[in-house]
Amino acid sequence: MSGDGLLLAFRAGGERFAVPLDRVREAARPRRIAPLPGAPPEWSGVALVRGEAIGVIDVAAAMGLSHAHADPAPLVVVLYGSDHALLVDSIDGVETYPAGRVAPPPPGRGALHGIVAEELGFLSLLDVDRLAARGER
Amino acid sequence: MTRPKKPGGAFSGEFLAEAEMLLEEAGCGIDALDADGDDPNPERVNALFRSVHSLKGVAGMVGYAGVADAAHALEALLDDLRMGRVPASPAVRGAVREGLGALSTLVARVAAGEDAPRLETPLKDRLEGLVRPAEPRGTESLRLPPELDASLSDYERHRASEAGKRGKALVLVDLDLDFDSFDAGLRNAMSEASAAGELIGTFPGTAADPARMAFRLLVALPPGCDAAALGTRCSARDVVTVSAGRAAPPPSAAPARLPAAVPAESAPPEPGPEAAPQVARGVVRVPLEKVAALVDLAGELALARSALGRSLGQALAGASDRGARFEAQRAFARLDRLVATLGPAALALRLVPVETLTTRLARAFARTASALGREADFVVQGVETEIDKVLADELGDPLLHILRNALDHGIESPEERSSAGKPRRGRVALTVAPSGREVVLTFSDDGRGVDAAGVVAKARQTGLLGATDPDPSDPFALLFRPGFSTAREVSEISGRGVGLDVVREKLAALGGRVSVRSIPGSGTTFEVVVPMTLVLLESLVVRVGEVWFALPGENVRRTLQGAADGVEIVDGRACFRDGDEALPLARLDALFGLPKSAGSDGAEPVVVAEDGRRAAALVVDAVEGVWDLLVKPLADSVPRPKEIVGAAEVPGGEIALALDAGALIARIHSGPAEGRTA
Repeated sequence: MSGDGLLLAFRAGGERFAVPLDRVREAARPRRIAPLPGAPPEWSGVALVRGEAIGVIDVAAAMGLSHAHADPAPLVVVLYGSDHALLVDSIDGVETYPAGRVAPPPPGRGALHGIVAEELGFLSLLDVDRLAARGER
Repeated sequence: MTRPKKPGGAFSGEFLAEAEMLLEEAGCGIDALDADGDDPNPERVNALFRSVHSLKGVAGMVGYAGVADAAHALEALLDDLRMGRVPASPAVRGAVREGLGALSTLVARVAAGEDAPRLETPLKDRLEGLVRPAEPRGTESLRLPPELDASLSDYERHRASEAGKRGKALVLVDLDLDFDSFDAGLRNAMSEASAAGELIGTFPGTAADPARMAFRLLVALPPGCDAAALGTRCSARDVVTVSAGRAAPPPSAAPARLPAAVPAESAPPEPGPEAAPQVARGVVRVPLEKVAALVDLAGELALARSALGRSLGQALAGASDRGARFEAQRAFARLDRLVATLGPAALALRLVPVETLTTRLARAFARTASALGREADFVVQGVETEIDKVLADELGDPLLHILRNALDHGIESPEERSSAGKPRRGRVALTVAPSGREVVLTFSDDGRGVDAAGVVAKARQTGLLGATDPDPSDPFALLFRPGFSTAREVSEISGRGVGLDVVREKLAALGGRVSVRSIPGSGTTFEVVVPMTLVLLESLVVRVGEVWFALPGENVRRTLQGAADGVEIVDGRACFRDGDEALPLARLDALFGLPKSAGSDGAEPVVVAEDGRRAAALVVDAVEGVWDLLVKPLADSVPRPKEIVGAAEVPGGEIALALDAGALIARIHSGPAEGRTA
């Protein structure tokens, strides 16, 4: 994936992440996320968004981070092309980086396409397909 | 990206908090800028730009287009300011302050409940009048390595060139960091660089060793600052001076150009405030949740009626007063009839004419036809047919896909049609008709049609059908298989690579189905059948710890509270005695590996489930109730035990995981999680 194009940047577990904007269907606040028994720990469960049952991946848990606080009204980013959503802490907005800014991901940091160094830390570009596939049995 | 239909929606509180914080930051920024006067600190200008840029982003994302537009106008001016295209003159600073004031007002109006406040035209014109047309990207050489030069943003390029003009040195600091600690190392280097001068940007570098992370900082250092010392403080691998600074800063920067008094280009008139929703005579608009609440109540009333019926029957059987018994039976029969009609009447409130849907389809059809260069008419019959409001909303996407498909692959170009002896204008007819409790939507086009043999050949070619598999009885069903989709050859119209398999899935999720028939050369017909109202499944909802489950009512034989008496050990495993049968028994928490609940003392309820072939007993923490639920399927890619097939919202907001009773009973029969010994 090139770093060109629009990204949706968000925070999870105190760090910044982004996914390609064209993979994002919508952001939503489902009333509940029901835990799924037997699912790997990075799956926080099932949410109903616009009447659809969607599996929710906890980005912080998948990246080995912990949540700052338990959010009573969880915020999810629903993706196209899968029946998944990402549980995030907050949304920063739409951003863009030239491909030349994206450094290859360090190994062992999870499903990333790359990282971009920023003023206050890093923006990690999530590989959403790999993230979801990791949980599949 | 889909936006909430009503601006803000669930996000409006969050938007307001975020917007107020950004405006607060920007307010401090403009105060500091005023203090700087004509030679503003670039960091401050950039920070101000970013606050307004972020405000535009959040406003746009939650659908407050008026706020986003206003922020955009101010952002453009601030971009000019940070890029040095307009000077930080009192006039420009005044306009920025006024723009921020106007944004605060707009946000306050959102807070007061307004849906779509917009910036007044005169201020917008003034802001836009101050903006300079963007210049072509600077071509002056900064003598940077080409890969870095290519990834500079316009602002970074501007800062680098400005640094050169001001006699500063441009330095590249190369870092080579351990994977384990690169975050800390980079943060340290960045803060050292910012302290020593201006950190213009951070770029990926080329690591000599693939097991290390390389970064490269571009830093502008004031005259007299020791680049090598900075390198040491940053633990840099290397420091390259791209351009040396001058001993003393030049007398002044390039003269800033004053904005000429160009009259604002005649902007198109702003659209007025959005028209108030039309209220037709004799029509009341009711939020869907209120209708849903009524439907739920009707459902509960029906359950209460059944319970009353049973106990009344028992009570009356022993009653001696025949007159009173007759009266009670008559009154109950009347209640029964009324309750029986209430449910459908409440459900009917959810029905809307399908016209709301077809009007949208017709508009999209016209747009798509012109985008594809097709000449075609869309003819609709049966628009008065009623359909569930939620279905009317949800059907838009899949039906639009079928229409696009007809235009993209069905209807030929006008020239092709003429040479085939067909009228130049193609035609897609949609017929909507009720059929029992279902609605049938038939799309027929008069295009080139689909060749069944071709479909089978393609399926063999792509591996959907094995070489030895017989031809399927309905070859067109292959069109809906994942992987068949012609969307691989993505056209502008097919878009996102969504194929007919997605149409089928979406319709299935709504309780509907789709089929195709076609005559090569003369056209294709898609038949979509959906339920008139969303199918609700009567379900028993149980709870284990914090997890709620739903079991189809038809699979529940009985529930018993505190049925420890019925539990016995047969053949080395726990069984539940139900009449003559000894049923295998399992705890739902143990079955799914959930933490064992506190009160496992034999007093919990037992649910006897059956699937027509056999039965099993299930221990749960609580039986929450019986509701009519709309069960939504869960995609296969979501990892979970196979007994969980979907999810449904329970009145009150909890989500119950829908269980496949057959699979669950089979699992219990095959042995408990603890391991069967017999």
